[in-house]
Amino acid sequence: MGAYRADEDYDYLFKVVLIGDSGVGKSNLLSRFTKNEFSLESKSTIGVEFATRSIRVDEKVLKAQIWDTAGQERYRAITSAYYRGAVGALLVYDVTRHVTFENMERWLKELRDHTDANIVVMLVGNKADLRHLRAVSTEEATAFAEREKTFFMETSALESMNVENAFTEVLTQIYHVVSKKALEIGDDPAALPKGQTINVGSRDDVSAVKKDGCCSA
Amino acid sequence: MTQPQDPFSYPPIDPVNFDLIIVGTALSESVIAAAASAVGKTILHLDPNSFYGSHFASLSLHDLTSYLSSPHSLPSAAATTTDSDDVVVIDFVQQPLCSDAEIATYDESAFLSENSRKFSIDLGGPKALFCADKTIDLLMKSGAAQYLEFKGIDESFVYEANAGLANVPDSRGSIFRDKKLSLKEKNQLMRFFKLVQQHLDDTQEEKIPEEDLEIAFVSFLEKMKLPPKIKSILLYAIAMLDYDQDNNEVCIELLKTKDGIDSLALYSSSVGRFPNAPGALLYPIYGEGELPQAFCRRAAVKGCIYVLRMSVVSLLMDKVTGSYKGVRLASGQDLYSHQLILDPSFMIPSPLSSSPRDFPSEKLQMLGQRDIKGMVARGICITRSSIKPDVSNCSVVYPPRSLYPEQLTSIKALQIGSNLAVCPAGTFILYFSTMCNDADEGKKLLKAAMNALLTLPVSGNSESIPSVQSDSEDIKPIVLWSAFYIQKLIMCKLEFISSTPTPDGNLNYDDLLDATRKLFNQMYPDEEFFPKSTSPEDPTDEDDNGLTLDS
Repeated sequence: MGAYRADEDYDYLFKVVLIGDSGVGKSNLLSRFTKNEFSLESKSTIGVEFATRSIRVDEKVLKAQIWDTAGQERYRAITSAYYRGAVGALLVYDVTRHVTFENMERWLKELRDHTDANIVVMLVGNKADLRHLRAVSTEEATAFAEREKTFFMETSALESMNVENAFTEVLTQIYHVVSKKALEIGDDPAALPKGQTINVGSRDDVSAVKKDGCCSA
Repeated sequence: MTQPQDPFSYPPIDPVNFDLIIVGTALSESVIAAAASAVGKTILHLDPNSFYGSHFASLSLHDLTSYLSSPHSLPSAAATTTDSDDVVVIDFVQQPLCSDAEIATYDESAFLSENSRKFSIDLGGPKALFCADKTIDLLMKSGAAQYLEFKGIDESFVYEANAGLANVPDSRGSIFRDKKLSLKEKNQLMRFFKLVQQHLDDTQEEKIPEEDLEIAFVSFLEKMKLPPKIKSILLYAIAMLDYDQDNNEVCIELLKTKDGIDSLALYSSSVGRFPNAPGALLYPIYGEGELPQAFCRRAAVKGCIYVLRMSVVSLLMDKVTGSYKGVRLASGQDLYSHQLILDPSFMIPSPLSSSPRDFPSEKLQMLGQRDIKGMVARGICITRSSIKPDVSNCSVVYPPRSLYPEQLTSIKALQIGSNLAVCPAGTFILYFSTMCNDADEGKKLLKAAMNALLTLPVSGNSESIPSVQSDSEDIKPIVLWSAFYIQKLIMCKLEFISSTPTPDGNLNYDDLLDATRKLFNQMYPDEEFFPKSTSPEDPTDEDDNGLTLDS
């Protein structure tokens, strides 16, 4: 379930996934955005499932559920289940390692193979603070983003540069897609109602029933 | 299947020493990976395929066709190194679990090709979960439930000779509403369910006598004077037995009454457990392949290292003691571990002519000998309409002799529609399976079952299939595409090298997971299977945890 509306503490919940080569800084982007923390420890991601943070757009509370890879990208072993229901993705490369940018095409293909065509994709060039080590020019990345029809931003998780902007932009764009799609579904009599989602694992007595506002994938 | 890229473009695996190396990402391997990671073991989990799940995967139409059509072949190691001073290198042989595949496209091949990726077809189907399964409890206990969503299977049917599909009366309400049971039959069934309910109720004193619990369930049902129709429903549609209980000569598994009561208990406690599940069964959205992936994600979060598209080619054994030391990857890299779990398709060739003269090879002989405990014949069909109007997802059981007099086994079937995200809108996937002793027997059974409910376009060998009367009330769905294949049932274990169970013929996973838990306990006798712990690393957001059921 990528996006659904609830009456509790948020209006929309959006699943967003982080993908890209090992070591490009995906986990630090996540911890910077959700907890304002940075770690110089370079060990592969262990222990992090996903993190959440809410932002406000057009008087709506958008809750982002941002998934990390658990290190499964190191030997190209991300599960197809990881992509289920994702409505947004950050495609992350390291501006100081050109090979990580070269692999963006493969990551984008994997993403497109497993997600809905409407998914919002942001190309992210991380570690932009390492100016003297830059190996990928902004022009080269901009051209790729335009060709592949993705958004693009350069960030630094270390210096907090553009991290907030990157996530906020993705969430805002998802919200626009969702709002537009909700209008379209309203006009389409063939759209089947997806029904209700109930959490039965954590609480046997379910009091909060969440209704789908729209569907993806 | 997308052609796997150069497997050697990966960086070398780092570290090279592990507590456990697992080859294959089927359900058992994935559960053990998650269980061992949860207790702090260091694990490397590999799969030669480009997808997770091995024989429990859910694949696109194209990938499924490729998987069933192409035999596995192990690549030779990139670096041809000789035996080192302290290890003997013994090459694996890989024997595919699936064989005798027949695939046919009858209609709309362009549509099927264009929509290949919209299919998520189970290799081990039909498979579902009972709402009260131990599998559900395991999903919650392990934390894997948070990655999964389920929907209920709308209806359960039993096929009756010359009458077609009848509802399985699984609750007081459904017995009351049933239109095909006579009033007398309804009363008999109600009384029997009440008897079982009282027996299971600890507050009740009236119990089924001990001597009755030890006799064959079929004899107990006869003692209860239940008519054949009711007996058939209880034995095959609710207890889900495979073999004809009335035929003493061929019945391989005669069920005892106490086990029959347990089956009825599982079924009845499943009905109504989840408010949005209309019947006893659940099915994971996107297919059964989501289950192994959920456990693998769980293991990865705890530090397990995952590699796809990487096979193992050799076993490394200590030259002096003959004990296990490690494996050699297809990339040429040698890795070491205390224990090894192998996908059941990996084998050691029996005659070890290449091993040194003084090498203790008796141990490996045992690994080369596989216990083949039977075969499962599986069939898959894609149709444009449902076998039952207005029903998307349903299960069907064909009791023994419901199709033709010599039919000695039950056949299980499951239809899944597009609302479970396994096929394009307007299509349905049907899975069939039965136990068999050889491929021809299995396929004959499956084709008879298919012909009872579907229109299978005429092929050369369809003449040999016994004709079955169809329910004239419904128009039979036309099959666009079909596949048949045979899976072997294998199990074995040798000291530090284990092999996991293969997909079985059961509808649910409980037997398989029991075997998996036993394997875990053998490997790690002092460790608990998924101990309860509140790890600070786990997400604290409760709203995002737990099993989700979509209606």
